[in-house]
Order: sequence, then structure tokens, then C-alpha cells
Amino acid sequence: MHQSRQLFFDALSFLTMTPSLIQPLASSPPSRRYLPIGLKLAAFVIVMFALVGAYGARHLSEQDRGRLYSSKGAAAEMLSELLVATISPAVDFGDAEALTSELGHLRANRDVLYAGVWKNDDSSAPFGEFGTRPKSVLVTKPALLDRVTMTTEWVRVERVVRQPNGTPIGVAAIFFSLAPENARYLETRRATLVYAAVVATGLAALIILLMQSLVVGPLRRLGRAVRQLEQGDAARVVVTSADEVGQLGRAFNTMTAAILDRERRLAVATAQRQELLDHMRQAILVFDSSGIVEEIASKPAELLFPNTKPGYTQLAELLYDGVQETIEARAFAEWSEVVFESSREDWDAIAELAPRTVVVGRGEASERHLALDFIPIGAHDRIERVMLLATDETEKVRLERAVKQQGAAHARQMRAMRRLLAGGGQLLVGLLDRARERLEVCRQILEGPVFERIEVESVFQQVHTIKGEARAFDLGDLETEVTAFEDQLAIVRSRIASSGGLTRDECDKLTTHLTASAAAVERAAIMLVEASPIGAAVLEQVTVRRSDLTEVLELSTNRTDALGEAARRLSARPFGEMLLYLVDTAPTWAAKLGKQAVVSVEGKEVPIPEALARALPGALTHLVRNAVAHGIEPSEERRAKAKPPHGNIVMAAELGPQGLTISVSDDGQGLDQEAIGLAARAIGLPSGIAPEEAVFSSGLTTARDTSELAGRGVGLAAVREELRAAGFGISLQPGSPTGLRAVICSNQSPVERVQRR
Amino acid sequence: MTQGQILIIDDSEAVLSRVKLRLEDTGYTVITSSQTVGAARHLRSTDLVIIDYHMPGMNGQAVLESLRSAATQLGHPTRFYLYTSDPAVANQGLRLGFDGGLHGKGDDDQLVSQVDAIFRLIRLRSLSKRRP
Repeated sequence: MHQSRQLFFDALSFLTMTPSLIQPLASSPPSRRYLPIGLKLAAFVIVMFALVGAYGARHLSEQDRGRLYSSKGAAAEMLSELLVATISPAVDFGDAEALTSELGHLRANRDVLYAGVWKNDDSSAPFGEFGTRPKSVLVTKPALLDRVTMTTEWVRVERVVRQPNGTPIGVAAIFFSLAPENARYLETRRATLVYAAVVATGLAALIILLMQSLVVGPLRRLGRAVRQLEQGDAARVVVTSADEVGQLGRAFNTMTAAILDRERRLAVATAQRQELLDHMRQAILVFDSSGIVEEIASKPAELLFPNTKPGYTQLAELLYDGVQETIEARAFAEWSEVVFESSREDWDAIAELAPRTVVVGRGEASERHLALDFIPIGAHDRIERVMLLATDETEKVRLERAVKQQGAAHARQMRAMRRLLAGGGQLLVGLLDRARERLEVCRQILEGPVFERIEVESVFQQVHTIKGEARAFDLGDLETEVTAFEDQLAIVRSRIASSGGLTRDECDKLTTHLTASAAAVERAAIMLVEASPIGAAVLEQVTVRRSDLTEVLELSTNRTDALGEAARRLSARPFGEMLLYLVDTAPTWAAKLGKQAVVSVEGKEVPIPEALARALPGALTHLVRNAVAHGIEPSEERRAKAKPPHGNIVMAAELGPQGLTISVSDDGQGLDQEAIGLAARAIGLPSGIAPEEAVFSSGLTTARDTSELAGRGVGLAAVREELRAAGFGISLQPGSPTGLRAVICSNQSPVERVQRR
Repeated sequence: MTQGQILIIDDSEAVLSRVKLRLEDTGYTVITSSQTVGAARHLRSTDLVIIDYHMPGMNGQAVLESLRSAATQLGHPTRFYLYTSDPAVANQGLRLGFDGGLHGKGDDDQLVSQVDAIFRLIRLRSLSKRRP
């Protein structure tokens, strides 16, 4: 808004080229006193007219005075001519009396101030006089000349008195007063001035009115509109003329429309931005080079940092709980310094060094885990401010921790199960069976027609027994469910004792607990199978005495009928049974070599014939050791190959139409063809031999791999020999997609097997 | 690419193995030692040494001094940090001659966060040094 208004002022001053007009409207204090333009114009016009009027009046009256004087002069000359002609005889005859009488006629003319006649002789005194001599001038005997002298007071006409023949006999000087002319002149001047003043005032008023309506009024309206616009209101001026002021008004209207339009769009954009920011679920803050939060740009930021005062709070205080001595706080402080000293092109390198996460309120109930993102803000190449986007990942972190903890609890229970199994899985199987039976009894009682004190007691007894057994076997999950069931029963028992009746709701609750307890039993059974090295077979296993079994086998040695087959099955052992040791120890071998390995078993319950069962543990141990020592790569190497950091080793048994197949597969690097080729040549094997076959040769070893685990050159040859004695063969295949797969299967052809059956 | 090499000296093998796993998961190369003998040979490639100050039978101060002089001879800029569960001691890290103290021993997350911060500081300083 501010910017657009500034633009407007710039444009306005450019249009009018009169910055002084704009100045009072701008926010800066006016540098001169405010004088309305109308007043200035009026003063100017009046002064101009006064000057012109005064000059004109003076000019006119001067002319008039000149005209009056000259006509007076002419009249005075004429009168003087007459007078001289009249007095000529009196002077010629020296008749003073006649002269005085003649001069006395001058009394009729009031303009004559004085008349003096001098004879043409040596006397300087006048021969005859009329009136009083003027004080302002020394009247002396004039020269014998015809002349006229004029001042602003009087006109003096001097004339030579002559005889009729033209001989000069004297001289006369007559003073005429100019007072009447002067009076007339003053009168005229006054009238002219009054007239000029009236005309000037009228014209000035007319011009002022015109200026007012054409310039000052529109400008004042424009000024008002500008002030309105400045206050954020929509403003328009009415344009009535097509002159410069009209153009200015139209330009103003156009500009106002443009400004308003831009502001509308800005407002929409701002609202959209705010909405976007508020919905990003990220706390967004902007901070400057002093590390102070300048702006809270999103709602989540207000929630996450509730006591933030923009323009005051330090960001580091928010992120590092006000503890400045920690390394994290120091790293952030130094980073901020570097940021604001850098240019934008360095940003990528700097952003790498920004903290990615932060824990606010560590160890408190309000602990928040935040993921941080920084975005530079600034014009051109400079970084002036930085926007921080903080995502609250607390829930995610908590979930991850919960999953980890759950995993740990699960592992604990599995270990407990394995301990139990080692002592005889059948105990546990029996417990679960009994629990099922007891719960079934409870169900029948609950669904029965009567549920009184006796029924409650018997259900209570059953449930209590299950609880005790579950506790003894460390079945936490089952124990929890059954305890809840028992608690509910206790409530029901006291209710029946007091009021005798049982509500529908209470019945339903008991049924719910019963169902939950039954589910817990099934979960325990599933876990048992999971923990059992022989899989589901654990549920069906019974313990028999070895001597009895040996006897049965001896009795059925050569029998090919169903009884013989059953006896052989009886002597067979589940595949998983012999592998428990490997599952637990192989990861520790890997750890010693700086590797990670996970061993899993498929087909735990597949029965393994007794002869093979004796050879298999040794063979499988060897194969798994090989996989750990040679196959699985160190974690970093695996990461580089985009594999999971831990290697997987799978031991699988399968009873298919082709008979029993046992395999050990890993997802490691497979056979080192080159090293094996070299080693094979070293012990003199034919050059064309496949590496998969060469490794079974006695004495072959790839020396660089000699380790505690494998590589002494006696391994696979011995394994093959041992398996052959049990009637099985072993071969190696490349794994899919990587690694190696060792396959153990019967040496007998399918035909032989059928014959044997 | 490894984020940097750390040498950790602590008398507890259990602490060492746990911390090593956690830091390696984060991408650091970690060498651990429960004794100071021979620890100096790792210094050449080590950016950060974390020393447990309270070790029965070992003097954290002496360990620090011998390793620091070894690092100085090598001319390799190694940083030494004290690691302790006692916040008061951690705050004295600088006074004891360390480059600083790591807080909250036992909280591996906090350790990673602090180690990250140290490596960020190292890089920041080398970044500003490169500048005119």
C-alpha cells in the first residue's frame, strides 16, 4: 500500500510539475506555511491591477494636465496681445493714469495674478502695475523679447510694447494663475483612479472566480481525494473539463483504479499466502540478521512458540530454550552470522550447515521434535532475512520410539518362550490347551440359564487358575486380559451379594472379557509357534523315551509298508530344531567382522530323516559361516550397493515331489570368481572348472579371506563328504538377484526313491 | 561418504559399543578405545575426540593433554570434547582445556544432535576461513 501510494505521489508531482502543491499532502512535514492558492492568485491579480491602474491613471491625468496648461498658455497669449495693443498709446504718451485704468480692466479676469509694464528706458521700476507680485518669483524688468514661461503655479507672458510703426517702447509681463487647471487636473486624476480601481477589483474578482472554479476547486477536491486514498478509502474525483486540470483528474482516477485493483489483487494474494501458510502445518517464522523474529507467518508457529513477540524475541531462545552455552545453540549462532554475511549464491553450501532438527523442551512433558528448513529472503544477491519452516515431528518420533519399544517387548517375550521351550515346550502347549478348556467352561456357564452366586464363583475359580498359570509362564499379555476379567467378576460378585440381580450391561461386559482372554490365549499360541524352532510342529509334539523309539525303529528297519514309513517319520526331526543355535549366533559372528546379518528359517516343521539330521547341523553351520565370512558385505559397502545394511541368510527346507530340498541362501556378493580361479590354478585344478564346483575341492582357499570363521581350505569338501554319507549331495548356485545359494538334496534318482518306497 | 571420524575414549565397553552403533548409524566413522594407549595413532584422520572425564584408573585430564599434544604435533585440527552426565562438569569443559562439553550422557539422541552441531561448526569455520 505504502509503495503504491508513493508511486502515485511521484506520478502526481510529475504530472503537475509543482511539487509544492503536493508537499502538504505527503506524509513528510510541510516545509512552508500553507497558503491557499486562491489567496495567492487574488493577491497577485489585485497587485497587478493596482499597478496597471495607477500607471494608467497617472498617464491619463498627465496628458490631461498638459492639454489644460497649453490651452491656458494660448488664452494667456491672446489676452496679453490684446492688453499690449490696448496699453500701447498710454505707454507711448507716458500716461500713467490711462495705463492704470487700462490695467484695471484686467480685474475682470480672475486668472490674472499680476501685470507689470516697463518703459524702454533706464528705469528698472515698472511704469504701471496690476495685482500683487507673486512671491515665488522675483519680478524684474524683463528683456525686450516676446516669450512665455510656464511653471506648475503660473504662466508668465512677456510681450514687447510697440508703437504702431513697430518701434519698441516698453515691455509687459503678465502672470496668469494655473490654480483652476490644477484643480481640474486633480479632479480628473481622482476620477480616473476610482474608475481604474473599480474595474481592477471587478476583473480580479472575475479572474479569482474563474480560477476557483477551474483550478483551485478541482485541485482542492483532488487533494481531498488523495487524503482519502491515503487513508485507504476508495476515492474518485468528478472530471468536468478537458483541460490540464481535467487531465490531472482523469489521470488520478485511472491511477486510483489501478492502485485499488492492485491492492485487491495483493489482498487476495496475501490471503491466499496466509491460508497456504496456515495449512502447511508448519511453524513459519522470519528472522533477521540480529536473530530476532520479525514475523510469525503461520498459525502453527503461534501454537508452537506461544510467547513470541515479533521484533523482540530471539529465535535462538525459542529453539534452544534460552540456553546459549550448548553446542547446538553455538553452532546455530555462528551459522546465522555466516548466513547474513553471505550472498545468495553461497546459500546451498550454507544451508547444508544449518541444523536439521531441534528438540525443544528436552526431557519435559512438552518436549517437541522439530524438523527445520531455512529459506533465504532478500533482494538481488543479498540475504536480508531468513524464513524458518519448522515441522513438528513429535508424534512421528514418539511413534518410532513406541514401535522400537514394542519390538523390544516382543523380543523379550520371544526370549522367554525360547527359555520355556528349552525346558519342554509341551508344558506350555498343555497350559494353553487347559486355558482354552477353562475358558470354554466359563463360556458355557455365562451362556447358561442361571448366573447366580455359585456360577460366579466357579467362573472366578477358572479364571483365577488361568491367571496363576499365565503368571508362572511369564505370559504378560494373557495375564493382563485375565486380570481384567477377574476384576470385572469381582464387581459382579459383590453386586450379586448385595442386590441379587445382574444387569444386561454387566453380562455383556463379562462376555467381552471372556472373548478377549480367549484371544490372548490364541495370541500366545501363535507366539509359541513363532518362537519354536520347529514351528507349528511344537503344538503336536510329545516327548517319548529314546529307548522306545530305537526299539520301534529296529523292529521296522526293513518294512516298506505304512508302519515302516510311520516309524521313519517318528525318528525324523523337525528341520527347525537343529537351527536354533545358528539363528542366535550367526549375527554375533557377523558383528565380529563389522557386518550385520539376520538369519531366518523357512519350513521349520519339515521332518528331516535321522541320517541327514546327524550331518545337517555341521553342514549348515559351515554354510552359514561361509555366507557371513565371504558372502555378506560390510554394512557400508552394502549401503553403497543400495542393499539393506544387514545381510539376510535364509535356511529353508521343503518337501516337494522331488523329495527333500534344503537350501542356504544369502544376498551377499556371491563367489569371487577371480580369486577362486587363481586358487584353483594354485592347487592344480583343470582350468575349465566352474567356480561353483572348484570350491568343493579339498585344499582350495582364497588366502585373503583366511579368518577365524572360514577359509582354511578344508570346509566345503568335508561338508560334501559328510552329506554324501547320509545320501545327500550339495551344489552351489548364484543367488537371485545377488548372493549365493547352497542346495542340499537327495543323491538318489527319483526312480531309486520310488523303488525304495 | 562418511561425515567425519570420531574417536571416543570411555572406560565402559557397553557405553562405547552403544554410542558407536548410534553414531555409525548416523553416518560417522567411529573408533572407540577403552584405554589411551595407542589411541593417538588414530588422531591423524580424526576430527573429533570425545573423552569421558571420570574414568576409574584413568585421568581424563592427562588423556586430554597427551592426545592434544600429539594432535598438535601432527598439525591436524582435532577437537576435544568432554562427555559427562553431570551438566555442571560439562559446562566446565572449556576451563578444563577441552573445546567444550557434551551434555546429557546416556541420551544417545542428544549426543547425535550435539555431534552434528560440532561438525557443522567445524565446517562453518573452515567455510568462513576460506573467504577473503
